[in-house]
Amino acid sequence: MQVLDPQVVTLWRLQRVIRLSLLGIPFAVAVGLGVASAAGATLGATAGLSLVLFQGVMLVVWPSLEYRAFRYSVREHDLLVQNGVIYRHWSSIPHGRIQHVDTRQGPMERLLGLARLQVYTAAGMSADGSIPGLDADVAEELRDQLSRRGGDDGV
Amino acid sequence: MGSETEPTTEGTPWLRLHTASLAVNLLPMAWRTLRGAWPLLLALVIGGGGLGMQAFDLALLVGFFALTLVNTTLHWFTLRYRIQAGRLEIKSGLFNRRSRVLDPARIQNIELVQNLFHRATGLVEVRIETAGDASTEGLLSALSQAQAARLQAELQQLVGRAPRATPEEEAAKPALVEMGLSEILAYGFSRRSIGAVAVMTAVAMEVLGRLGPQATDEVAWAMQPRVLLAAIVLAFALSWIFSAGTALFRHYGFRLVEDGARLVTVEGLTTRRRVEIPRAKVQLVRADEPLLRRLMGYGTVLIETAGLGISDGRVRQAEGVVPMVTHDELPTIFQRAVPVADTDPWQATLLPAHPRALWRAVLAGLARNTLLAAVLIAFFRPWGWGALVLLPLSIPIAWLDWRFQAWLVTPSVVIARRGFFTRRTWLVSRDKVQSVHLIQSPMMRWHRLGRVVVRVAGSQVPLPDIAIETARRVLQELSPHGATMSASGEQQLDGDDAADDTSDVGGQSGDDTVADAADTDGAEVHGEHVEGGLGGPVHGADQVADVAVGAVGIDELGGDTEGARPAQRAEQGQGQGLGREPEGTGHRADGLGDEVEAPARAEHPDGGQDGHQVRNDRHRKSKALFGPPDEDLVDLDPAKDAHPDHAKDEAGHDPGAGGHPLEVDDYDEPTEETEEASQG
Repeated sequence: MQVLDPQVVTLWRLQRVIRLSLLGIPFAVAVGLGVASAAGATLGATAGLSLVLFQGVMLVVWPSLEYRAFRYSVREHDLLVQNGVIYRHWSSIPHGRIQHVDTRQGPMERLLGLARLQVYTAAGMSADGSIPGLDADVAEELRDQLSRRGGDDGV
Repeated sequence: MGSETEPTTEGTPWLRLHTASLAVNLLPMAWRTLRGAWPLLLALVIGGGGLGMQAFDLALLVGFFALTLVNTTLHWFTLRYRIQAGRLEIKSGLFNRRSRVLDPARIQNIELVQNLFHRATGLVEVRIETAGDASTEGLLSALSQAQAARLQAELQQLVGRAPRATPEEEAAKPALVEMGLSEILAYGFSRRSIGAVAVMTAVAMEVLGRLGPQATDEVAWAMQPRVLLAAIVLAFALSWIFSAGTALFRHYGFRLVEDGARLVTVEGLTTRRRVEIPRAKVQLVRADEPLLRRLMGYGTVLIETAGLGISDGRVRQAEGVVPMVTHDELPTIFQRAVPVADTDPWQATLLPAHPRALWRAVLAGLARNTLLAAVLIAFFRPWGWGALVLLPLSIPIAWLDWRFQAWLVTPSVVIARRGFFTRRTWLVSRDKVQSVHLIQSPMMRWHRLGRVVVRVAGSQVPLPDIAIETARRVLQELSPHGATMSASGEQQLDGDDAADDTSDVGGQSGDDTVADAADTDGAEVHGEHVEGGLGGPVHGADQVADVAVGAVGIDELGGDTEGARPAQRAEQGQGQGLGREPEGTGHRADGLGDEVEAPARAEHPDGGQDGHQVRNDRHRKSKALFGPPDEDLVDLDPAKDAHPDHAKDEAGHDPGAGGHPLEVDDYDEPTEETEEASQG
């Protein structure tokens, strides 16, 4: 099994920082004010701060847990992706069933030299397998490797 | 493609819609425009008022009608289609030109629809579904019968399929299923569930009760038993009549005919609908047997293809529905839809959900119903307390749900079943499987369960909750063959799972299996968690123990919990003894396998059993589940029947199980490709 590029932890933390500052802190402030008006200032401050604290801890801890939980492997017949810290999920996608493979790079990913690989099958409801945080070169290589194999798509 | 500049003389000439299309399409087009312009119409209805407003309304109406007329004319005027270079091209639109190219090889099914206007003018709408979202719905909206037949014939020729039967030939063919009037009505009756009516009535009563003090008189009047009864009967009757009526319109004169490689359904009272499904495109078959219909001896079969379309803003699944099939004929229809199916889901012994899944289902059901009851009590104070009935009820309901879950993986198909009130049975040909997923929620992890979900194009099938080891094996078993399976399934099965075990395949006798079942249980109690990296030998021992216990569960309900409990306890004990649960971070490094290498536990009565023997048994198990279907039956049944024996075996250790010298060597080298890969 392969692991993601360790840089992805940084990426996820950065994303969380942005989310925290845009949503998390305003939310915590709102909750804090709400509690403060109902149950006094100290309790309100405690609630708001503990929310921020919780998110801060999640920011530090969660990405590395996610990183550790994520594995993938290109095997002889299929692509195997394993992820999930709490809900665990294994996906196996046979090479013959892969319709197309995308790589994507957002601005932050470009900054860190990462790319996201997305695998589509005819099951089509969503991307069947998605591997975030690969080294950009590895992603390209993987994309070529996966899309090169053809076969009956079973549709 | 299909632009004006292209020399049309080179290709096939473009064909256009029939002239009568103008008349035929006016109404459907009006409906479509109406749907697009509904906010306007809403304003029109709500507005009104002064004289000026009325004039405005009138102008709107006229404008709306004109728009429809123009749209219809434009559609008729601009739509062109042809078959060019082996593809069907359709273009339409004056300002907004759009052209569509369909690859005949990707056609999932062809549907011919005739509404009343079509029938009056002898025209037909052709809807061609392909995988993905391209459908010709609303495009080839009015072709003459001859045009439609020619188009279909040409398309079929391109894919190299046998020409289709003429309507006369088709009518002469014996129908696989034909529905009489009474069956159609019965279908309609059994469609509305009693539960829905009951809930509706209850909600209506509650709403009435909440209306306010002025409504209390009416409520009191409604509370009279006679009135209440009458209301309920009326609700049922109305719901049934409505349901039977719609069923009649939709399914009148239903016929399912087999035409070479196609399944054809024809039905409809005012709108005739003909759905043609190439058998090669069938993704899965599903039988729905709601309780009421089941009691009448019928079920409904859905034949799903990958043709997905967006209609009315929601994803529509192209499928052939066979509304009423007698119970005895269900397997036949399955067989006709998926010819590679080697197993009859109603005859074969399917594998049960794991006993631990029952526990989980009960807990989940209790949690859900507690929440529901709490909400009900909070909001509907006097009546809400009745919701407490839900709590004890959730146990038998969970049991029923669990009891009827079943699954089986054979070399050619995957079968899954669940539900008591609405029983559903899925059958998927393995060469249609797109991807396989295994999910494990925290609660499932706690119970060492896993759920396999098989995805095909356009749909997915969840298998019951089974032991995580089994689930891993199913994932492993289903995944690599998806692409290459169809013909050489059996060989591959042997090749992957039991390559160095061929000597054993033929030689397995009933006795052997009995011994297996016993040993396996031994292994489970040992808590030997074998290394099961994906490529490596699988968790045979644990897994078959599970099966054995489960199989017992099916027969003797009382016994199953007892059967399961020791195993569970043993597992827990083992986890503690090793100071290492198969969870947490350490486990993740192992890739797909939970790898806890445990020495045989001395405190177990079977403690004398030596390591190699256990492993060896484990290995032999690996084919038990996934062998050819016959073997499945053979393997499972003795396990079930042999339970008493096995109890005896456990007490006085079966001497025969001690040595399978042949296999010891076979097994000395655990194959651990993935293990190595994971280290690297």
